[in-house]
Amino acid sequence: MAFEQLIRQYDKKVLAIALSYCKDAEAAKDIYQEVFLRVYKAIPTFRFQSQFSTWLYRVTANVCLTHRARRREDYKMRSLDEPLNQGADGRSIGETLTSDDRLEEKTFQVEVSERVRKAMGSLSPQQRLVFSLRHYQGYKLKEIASLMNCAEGTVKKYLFTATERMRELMKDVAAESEGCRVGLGKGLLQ
Amino acid sequence: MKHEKYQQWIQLQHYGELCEEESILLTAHLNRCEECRAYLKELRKLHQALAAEAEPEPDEELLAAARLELRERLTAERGRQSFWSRLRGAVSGNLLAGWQGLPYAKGFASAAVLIVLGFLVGYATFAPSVGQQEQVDVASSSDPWARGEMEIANVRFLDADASDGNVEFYFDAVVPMHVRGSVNDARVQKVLSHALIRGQNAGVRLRAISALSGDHLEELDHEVKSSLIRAVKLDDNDGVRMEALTALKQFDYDEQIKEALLHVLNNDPNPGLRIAAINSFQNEQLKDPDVIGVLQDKSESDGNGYIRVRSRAVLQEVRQQ
Repeated sequence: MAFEQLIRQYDKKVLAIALSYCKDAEAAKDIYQEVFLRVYKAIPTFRFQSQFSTWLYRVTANVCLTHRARRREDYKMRSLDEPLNQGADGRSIGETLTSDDRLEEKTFQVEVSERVRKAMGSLSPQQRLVFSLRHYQGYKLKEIASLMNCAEGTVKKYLFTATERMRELMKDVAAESEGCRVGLGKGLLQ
Repeated sequence: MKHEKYQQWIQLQHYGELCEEESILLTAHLNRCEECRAYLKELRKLHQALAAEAEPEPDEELLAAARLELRERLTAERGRQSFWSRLRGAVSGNLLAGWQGLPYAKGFASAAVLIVLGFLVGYATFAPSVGQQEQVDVASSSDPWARGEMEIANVRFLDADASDGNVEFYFDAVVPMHVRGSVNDARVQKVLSHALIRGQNAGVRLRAISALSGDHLEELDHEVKSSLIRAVKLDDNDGVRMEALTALKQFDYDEQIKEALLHVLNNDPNPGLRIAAINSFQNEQLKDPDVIGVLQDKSESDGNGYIRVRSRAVLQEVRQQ
């Protein structure tokens, strides 16, 4: 119980790092489990020479890098009475699409998320980790270098390569995003 | 090489990682270099697009589920460590009493434990299960929605300590189903719609689409259309997207289908699909200003030469009408 109380202070951050790295809730939970099991087994030998959080997030970075996503099919039980394509508010996506004033923005948001997931999937584990830690988690490059136990120059190289790849793969979405913003802006002015 | 250095600085500046001296040098360079200004503009577009992404932060439900699973695994880990410690203690303490002074006593104790465990694992694996003899013969059942034997999966303990006589846990009850029925049955269509989005591989998704296409269908559930649109836009497999696009022709043309076709024309990486999208529009539909706008754009800027030519030809036909 004491261990669980300890990790409560940090576990949301660990899950956030995992989720921004792999963009998949099930994989993020896998990483979360692996991190805290490793920590649980190793904590008797932790010497407290560095901060616990620093060590914990370093373990998280390592687990992310070595994680092999298990091909879990989206095999969920569904009631035959339950409508498919249901949104979080219980309405079907069909209903949401026809009645929501921000239809275009919501649809676009879902598509962007999917494209980002695919684009990040094409990066190497190191590039993906650096990009997610910098862009989503706000870590400085020096901090990322410490977490990954490598030189700051190496981290910069991963970031540049990752950003270039994302820029290439998201070009059409980026162009559409600008169009969408302009369109929405015009809509607001009407 | 020179541009590469400044383009890397542009990236660092976006994240506030550039020192003051480098910022000044970068500003001076951007005032002179159109290529790097264009790069800056593209990078801004990328970050604007990323800003449109759904928030990747974990919600409370996901965190609660992760904590619950961790608690079960920690309980199992503690139990495993406790069992192993007790077993090792029992073997080395009792069975080898009097032998402890001898060399290799611990090694013999561990070997003995392994042999015992080996027998236990072998028995658990190969012993006939009582349930197997009572399994329902699904294939011969007369019920078109015949159920197989329930399988238990994903047991998650809330309280595995049985010292008070009680335990508490969740589990998933998975029931394999064998179905033989009409494709016009709404329940069958619902399952096929699920398969065409979430089928384990492209072959399964293609077969689901094939089952949901054809003259034998009298009426299609509206969820089928939503699932086909989703497949057209998001499926990884080119063949699945193509078949889904073809299957959408069964439905009356409306705003949703128009939006799906335009999405394919604008975004699909496969030129064959973009061509199929152009060919899916009927004459009257081509007069829609949204469709004309996209075709004009494609006629000028599509990466594929045939698509540019085809778009121009279609626009020409529309103007002549």
